[in-house]
Amino acid sequence: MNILKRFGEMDRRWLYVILLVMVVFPLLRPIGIPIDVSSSTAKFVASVDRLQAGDRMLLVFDYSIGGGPDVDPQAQVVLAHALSKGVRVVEVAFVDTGLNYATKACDLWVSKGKVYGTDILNLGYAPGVETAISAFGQNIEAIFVRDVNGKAPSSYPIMEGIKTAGDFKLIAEFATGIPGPAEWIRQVVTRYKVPLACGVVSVMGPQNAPYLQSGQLVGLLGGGLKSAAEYEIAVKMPGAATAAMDAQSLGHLTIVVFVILGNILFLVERREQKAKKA
Amino acid sequence: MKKEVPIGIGFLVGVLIVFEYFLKGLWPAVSKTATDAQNWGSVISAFAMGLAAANLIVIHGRRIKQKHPDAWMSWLLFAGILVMTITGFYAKGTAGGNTFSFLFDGLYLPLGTAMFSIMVFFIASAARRAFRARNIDAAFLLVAGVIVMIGNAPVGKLISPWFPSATSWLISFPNVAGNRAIMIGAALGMVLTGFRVIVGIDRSYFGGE
Amino acid sequence: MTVAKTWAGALCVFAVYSFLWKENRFFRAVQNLYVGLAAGYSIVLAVKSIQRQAWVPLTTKGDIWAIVPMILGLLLFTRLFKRYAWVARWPMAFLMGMGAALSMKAIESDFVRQIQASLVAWNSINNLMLSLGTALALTYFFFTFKPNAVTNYAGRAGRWVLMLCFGAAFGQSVQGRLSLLISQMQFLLKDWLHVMK
Repeated sequence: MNILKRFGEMDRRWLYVILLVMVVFPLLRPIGIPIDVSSSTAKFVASVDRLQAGDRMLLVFDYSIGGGPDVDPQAQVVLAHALSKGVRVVEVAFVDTGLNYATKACDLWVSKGKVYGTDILNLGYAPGVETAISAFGQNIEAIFVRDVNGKAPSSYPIMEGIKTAGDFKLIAEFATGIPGPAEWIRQVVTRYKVPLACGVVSVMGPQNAPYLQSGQLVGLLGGGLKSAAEYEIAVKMPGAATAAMDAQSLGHLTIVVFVILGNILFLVERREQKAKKA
Repeated sequence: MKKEVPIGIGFLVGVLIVFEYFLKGLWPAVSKTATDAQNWGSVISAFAMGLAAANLIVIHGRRIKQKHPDAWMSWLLFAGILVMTITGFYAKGTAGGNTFSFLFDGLYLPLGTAMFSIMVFFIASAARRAFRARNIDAAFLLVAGVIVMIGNAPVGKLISPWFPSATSWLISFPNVAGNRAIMIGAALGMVLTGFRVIVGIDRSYFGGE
Repeated sequence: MTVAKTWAGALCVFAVYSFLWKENRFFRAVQNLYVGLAAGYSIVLAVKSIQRQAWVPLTTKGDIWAIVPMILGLLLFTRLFKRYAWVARWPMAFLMGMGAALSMKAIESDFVRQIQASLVAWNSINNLMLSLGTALALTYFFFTFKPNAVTNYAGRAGRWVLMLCFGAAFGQSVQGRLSLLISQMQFLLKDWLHVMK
């Protein structure tokens, strides 16, 4: 009981230190806890696997820097998977900071030998959230008059025959808020019946699960960094997300221990108060 | 003019978009007009981004003018706006472009991610005092939360294979049921609110008469 | 440049984390700097978007109508002047009317399709949970019905379904925040200190 009381009265900064140690230790000394692939991640992998070489896929960078570390690893591994299959990728962003992630990803793959305009294209950013997505769905060149290099999208081989969002074989959207899966389903999927797979921050995972169950999403990476790690394992491309999972495990356990100890303390304090009143 | 024109604009634009949704390929002229209107909306939204920045400048300018004790922070804010805006128009590879890249990757990105990441420490301290099962409803919430936390971590399977299965079940069934109910209610609310805005009953965007 | 960026990033992380010790001027300074950088970045993107979506069609394709959104957008700035603030209602009405109409499409994606998806065959406990759980959770929101035994008990069960739902969201939100901390530590240990493989 003394330990419990001490835990209850401890300066909160000690809790921060404990959490920090539990996160940093496995990063320096990896434990190697195996990672299983969930069914929603497997569905996403399958949706990209169904694509053939030469198919056009739209990759949407709808994430802000606040959730970037959670979602960017998802986008990177999906992009790597698609390009490794010979799928051609068109990048867009409807969140301002998403443009930065899209540009970095595009530059990285061009430096690795992909041809800009044939294998990969960066259309840039359009403001207006749902308004821009709806306009994009109906006529891509109406909203993206020029790509990031100042040329008309139709001048590139990758955009041949692509006029609306429905002309893509698959749309993969990565989001940290609005716009997110709901906006894309409302404006594009319902109208054009194009397959949509989404990657979101962990907070948004549960609220988008109904779309996966109803079939409006063909795949969902709903666990943030964990889903990115699962995807990396599924396609045999381990990266930073996989390396972070040991720290995720110990961090979760630490918070759970705090919750359990806090509740035991609560029950003890309530019993003592009842005893005092009696 | 002050009320009737904006209500008329909202009505016309709203009706155009709704009609285009239902008529779709039946009347191509309506589709093209709707797409153009949406592009206009995107351009106006870009101006709204500038308005947000302008509002910030006005508020902090007032602080500097009133010689607020923390006015030096407002100067810092102005410096950030100025340098970012000027260097943002330079091409990659130039001195200005490299400065923009430094500001974005070296300052903006790390500051943003760090600010969101400190929340987990507050969650850790709240876990001790605030996350308590005071009644049956809170107990349901807490137990579900703890199961999901353990089940989602790879170590959960090592503790017991039951955790990942329970987590998967929780997310796929009760969670879907609950969120679906919220979604259905929210959809009805969105349609009704949309109708009220289009016909001019809801004028909250007027910003005061 | 990469070294300078890494060191600047590390300093930013420490400046923000200094708040965990106690609130200080260093933290508030970087907070204001962050807001300024964000505002500057949004100005850059706004100008580039206007140039690409309105100016280029106007100057290269002779699309004279492209001037209309530019005028409406400029009218938004009248909001900053009390005397002329009413003029900003015109572009606001445009945006609000558009947003309202676009959101009405939820009737198909979030209403009809979701109800369809919850009408599953009751051939398993899980399917029963799905259909019944949705119905019970909806019952909880019937605030205008006269209370009776059915709505009371159904509403209570619906509240439990919602609590399980919020519990799952709570668990995942902790997971998300932890991921952000882990990414920060990976940056400090790998990119800055080079002690992580």
